[in-house]
Amino acid sequence: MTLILFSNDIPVPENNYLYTDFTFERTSPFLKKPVTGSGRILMDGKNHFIFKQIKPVLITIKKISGEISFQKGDAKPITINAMSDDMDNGNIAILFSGDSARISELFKLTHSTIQGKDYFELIPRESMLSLKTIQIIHIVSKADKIENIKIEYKNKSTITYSFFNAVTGIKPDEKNF
Amino acid sequence: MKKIFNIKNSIFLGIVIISVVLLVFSVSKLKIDSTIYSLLPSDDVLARSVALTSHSSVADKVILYINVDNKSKLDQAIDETDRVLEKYCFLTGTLPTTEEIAEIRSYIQTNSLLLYPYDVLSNPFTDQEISKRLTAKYEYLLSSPFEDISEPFFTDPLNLSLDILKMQFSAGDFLSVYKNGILSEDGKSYIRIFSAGFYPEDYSKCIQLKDLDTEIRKVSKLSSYNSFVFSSHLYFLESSTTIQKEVLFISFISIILTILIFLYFFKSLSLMFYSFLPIVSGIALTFFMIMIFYGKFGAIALAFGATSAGICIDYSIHFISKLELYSTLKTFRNKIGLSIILGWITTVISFAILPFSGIGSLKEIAVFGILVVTFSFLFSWYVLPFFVKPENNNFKIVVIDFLSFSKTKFGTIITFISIFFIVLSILISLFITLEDNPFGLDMNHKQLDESSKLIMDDFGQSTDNVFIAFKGNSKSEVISESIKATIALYTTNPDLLFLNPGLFIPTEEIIKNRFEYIRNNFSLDKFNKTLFDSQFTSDAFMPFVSKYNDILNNKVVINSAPNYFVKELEKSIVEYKGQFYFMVHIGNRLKEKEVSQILNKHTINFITVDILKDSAKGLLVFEQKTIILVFISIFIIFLLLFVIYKNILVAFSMILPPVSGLCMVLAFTVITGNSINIMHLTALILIVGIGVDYGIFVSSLWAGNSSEVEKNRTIQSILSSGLTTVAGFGVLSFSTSKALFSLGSSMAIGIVTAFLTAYLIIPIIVRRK
Repeated sequence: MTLILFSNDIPVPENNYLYTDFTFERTSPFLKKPVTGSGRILMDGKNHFIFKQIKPVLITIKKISGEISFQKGDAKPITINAMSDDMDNGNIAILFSGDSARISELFKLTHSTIQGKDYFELIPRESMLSLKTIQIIHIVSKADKIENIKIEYKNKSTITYSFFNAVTGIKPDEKNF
Repeated sequence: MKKIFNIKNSIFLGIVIISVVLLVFSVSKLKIDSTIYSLLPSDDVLARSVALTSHSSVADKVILYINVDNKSKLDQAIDETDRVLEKYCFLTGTLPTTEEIAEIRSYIQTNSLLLYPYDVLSNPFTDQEISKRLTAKYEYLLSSPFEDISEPFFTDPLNLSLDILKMQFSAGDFLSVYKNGILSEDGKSYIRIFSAGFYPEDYSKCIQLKDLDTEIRKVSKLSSYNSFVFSSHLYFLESSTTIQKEVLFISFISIILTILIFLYFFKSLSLMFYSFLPIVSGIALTFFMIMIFYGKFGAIALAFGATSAGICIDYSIHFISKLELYSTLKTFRNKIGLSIILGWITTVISFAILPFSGIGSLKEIAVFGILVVTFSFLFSWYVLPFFVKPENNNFKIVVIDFLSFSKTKFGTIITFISIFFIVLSILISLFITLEDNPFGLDMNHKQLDESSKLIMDDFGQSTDNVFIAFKGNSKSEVISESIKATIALYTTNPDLLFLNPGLFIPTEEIIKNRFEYIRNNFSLDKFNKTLFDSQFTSDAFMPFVSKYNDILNNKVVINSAPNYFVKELEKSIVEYKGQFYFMVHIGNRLKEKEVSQILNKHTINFITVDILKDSAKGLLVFEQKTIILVFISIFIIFLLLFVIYKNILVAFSMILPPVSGLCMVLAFTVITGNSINIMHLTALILIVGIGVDYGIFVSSLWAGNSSEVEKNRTIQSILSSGLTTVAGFGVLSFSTSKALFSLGSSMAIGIVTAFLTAYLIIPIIVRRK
């Protein structure tokens, strides 16, 4: 599965600068209890970001100068191709693509604004075989900050990301890259 | 005006017009074959290798290459070339698309129970393994933040799909696709592999590939990066178009030179037109016959045909050179008719020996040569005297006093120098080596070779035609052999693994064995018990349990294979003479040797397919055979001449010019550091056929009661006919095709030597008698 967020059709952080913490919850009728975790995201321009899942397992996905690497714990990082599905490490979300054409190629997108918040619904196009297990993706945002992303699968599994402490428009500390 | 439009000239014009129409019509209908394969001696192994290679997926492969100096520019470069590619919709990608990858992953997870190679990998159904694998499955979920936990995920609780895929990872991470292509390690180079949908012999379609390459090179140059299209089609096309252009150029130069030489000696335009009639009519009739009986003809033979004017003009030249010496046609034929007929017969004999080589293009040269020489001879014997009669001859030709010159000090010095060099050439020719690389006859493809090197350096992608082919009587048999081979390589040296779509489409026999294994080793109770202690609910893996129950009930439970695997498998299997071959491109000969050793140990039914290697042995045997054929032809001609002239010294002197020409060619090849190839050998056979004419003309006159004028005129006629032959063949030396160059340069050296021998040495031998 290729997941593209923060494209031009959904909010992009001002100047592509972002720092945010997140928590997530994965539910499934086949898991005795939900998997929960937390982490943070840093973004310094379109082609520079770090996605760090701190709990329950340390995962670092970095995109620096267009090259994406995946690191589990202290293991040696593995370079992965931007559009690929990596077989050993599960699917990788490709964040901050900024490619609106790609978003509309993959999803039918609807948008509404209620009480100052933007509500987006992304339904995968039928032709996109790689996304056929996704029912819908809900995104809630305020201005250029995304607050919540919920992916619902057809088998009733879900993944929900909640973002907080978000700072946009200010260049994050370079040492984090 | 009256003089020009008389009956004679009208008939002449009529024949010329008919010949030209016939020639244009025949050439327009003829299809040209410029494959290198027609230059190889045929045997069963080579014929099979050529057939299998020509229809393998490699023959159809087209590679798009992009290289940028800064990797941030790569995406832009790919997008730019994509826009160019959109116009060339015949190309289809060979790497799986994102959707196909998803389909493959889903298929492998869903069918993991039957795709897992139990005979190679450890038993995944022990208590310990089930527990370890279920824990790993959960940990995998924790470390894969965006894992899609839909049905395929739950059909593989033991993560068997990862083990199955690891078996293929060593063969190249073909599922790591970047923008439908592959990235190099440094991220600065990118290739995308396509299937053209047609084979390199289809020149009309290959032109589209050339256009695409030209456009991509142009676009990339403007944006300061390097990009091109590479495929074996382009090699074929370049050889074909270059040879076609060169044949035109060579024909033009050859004709101009022949005309100039003719005009120098005979100073008459009308005589030239009449003398060229046998050539024009002979060539036209030859092309017509070839068009009718063959339809398709080799470019090498046609290039030879372009130079045949140089041989055909000999009959006209011998006729008109001595025209003024005899009062009637009858006297002329009584005096030198036998020499001309013998000249024609010996030339035909030399051509007739070529088909014994078993090489396609040499057979074609023989057919072309025999037809064109015979038609020209017949026209000059029966038609030419109608236009140029000895009785009414009023042409003035240039007369050079060759006899006096040979008697001067300078002439004697040249004679001795010639003898010295001929003796030296005999000694040097003992050191010849034979060429065992058929591709050494092709032209240099500088740009394409550079492209090939770039792709090889960055990606290890090779277009070398080295294959392993699994052999069997049916498709399922060859797939089964390929799976055994994959397992053998995986267990011995995984670095040698190749991508094998057959691994994902197991045969019925393999499925049957796996059913048996699962029934004997898997316990659902044990699995459920371990599952109860895991993070998954007891019904989490129902799709897996359902698959297992199907296996217990002997139901066919494997889904249809992903379209990508089916396509790849279909492309890999080639049928040849009722046998099936599963072609695996190995590319590297060292790797092929290692793979072959392992497969032989495991008694797998396979063959190696390597045109270079398969042809080398046959080529050397052929070259040795041809050298023997040359000596046989010399001996046959010697016997024939001995029977006719009943004089061993005369017969010997008659074959001396071709023998000295032959030795000089061999010596020249040794001195220039080259090996003797099949085109050198072709030239040797032709030198024997043409050179013996010189020997016959000179020796028969010197042995008989001929006047000094007749002798001098004979030397002049063989010089002028020799010069036209050299003009015809010599221009082949300007060809970029090494085959044509070898033929042209050898003919030029051989004919010049044969002439000097006939002019300077034969008179000494025969006079001494």
